[in-house]
Amino acid sequence: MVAGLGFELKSIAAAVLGGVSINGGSGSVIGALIGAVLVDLIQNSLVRWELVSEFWQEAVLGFLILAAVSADALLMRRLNRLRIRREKAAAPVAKEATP
Amino acid sequence: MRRFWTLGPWETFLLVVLALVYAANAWLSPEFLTLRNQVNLFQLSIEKIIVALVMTFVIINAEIDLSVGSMMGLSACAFAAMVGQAGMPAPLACALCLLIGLAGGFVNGVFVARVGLPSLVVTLSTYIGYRGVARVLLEDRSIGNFPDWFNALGQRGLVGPLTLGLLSFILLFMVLYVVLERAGFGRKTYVIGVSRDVADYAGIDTARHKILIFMASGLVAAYAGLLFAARVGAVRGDVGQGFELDIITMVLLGGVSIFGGSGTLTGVGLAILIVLSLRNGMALLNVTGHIQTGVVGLLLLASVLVPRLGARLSGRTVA
Repeated sequence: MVAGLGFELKSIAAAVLGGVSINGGSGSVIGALIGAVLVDLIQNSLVRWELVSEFWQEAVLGFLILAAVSADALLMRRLNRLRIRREKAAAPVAKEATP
Repeated sequence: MRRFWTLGPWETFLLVVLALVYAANAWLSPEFLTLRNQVNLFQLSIEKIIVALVMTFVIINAEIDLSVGSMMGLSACAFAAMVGQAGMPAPLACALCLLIGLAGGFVNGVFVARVGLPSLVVTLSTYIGYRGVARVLLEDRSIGNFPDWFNALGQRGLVGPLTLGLLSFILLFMVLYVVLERAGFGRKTYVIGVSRDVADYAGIDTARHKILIFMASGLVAAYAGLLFAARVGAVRGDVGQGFELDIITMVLLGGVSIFGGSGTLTGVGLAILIVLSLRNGMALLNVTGHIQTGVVGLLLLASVLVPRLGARLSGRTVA
């Protein structure tokens, strides 16, 4: 009954932390692998670390995914804005160069 | 003038199914139609059906909230930690739990509407996150010894045989029916569900609307968690686990499209009645819980197939 319980979340967390965009279209297998190692490393250290109880595992994992996904979204938005600004800056120069 | 109460084809179908289920149950077990059993039928899954009403808004709005079960757990655990462990007065703890629900819903809403992430991902991560905080609060203990009046609110009838949970369900249904079918808020919910871009261009503050709906969802889930604590009398870290799927099943069976923009609260109400009376009837006939879950699953599958088959037979395309 319990086999594989909660794995769907862990695998999504691994992929997203590894830099795979949640909206599709970008990411790599190596990144997802590093993400998976990172997720398990964090979970394992929470078990071993006496300062923080192991009950924090789930909470930390949940908010970690949220942070990674929103960092991705915000970064993409910033990059897009940067690109648009650069294109706007480049456009007048191109006009002057044509005649 | 518009008729006050209209039934679409799907609602009519649900009504027929409901009548059949009730007739079969009444015929098979004499206990079924007694008032005690009818109250019990609602009371056993009162938390789920209350949250299903708000989930209707969330899904019509073309979003999903998977974190409701965890939010119920978080609110129940926070209540247990505050009252059972820290000895805080229960009314204050209730108020704080409802605030936690509002805050949790606000977090969901902000990440969906302002940051612009898919609600599936946001509520999936808060589904783990809120459950995690609930577990941090209670670790692996089970906490009971709540005040007597609190347990009585969850277990005994408040007005005649009607419990507080049942009364809140009826009241919430009426309020939300008016809001969804008669008020501007409901109309905006449908428009945003059909197309968020169109709603944006029409000057609707879609982000604010979505955040409000997620906050309502969190608030009602927290309230349901408190009802659960009162009804069962003891709380563990896994309160409400897996409830979100039962809730979403009821809403989809009620004819709400998972892609948003269509569906009615009447349909959801009928679907709730069907699922509950089906489960209750089978329980009275000594059918095990696993088979009950299987039958509800088949019903959901049928609810997707029947409209498509009907459309194909009559040669029309599915709207």
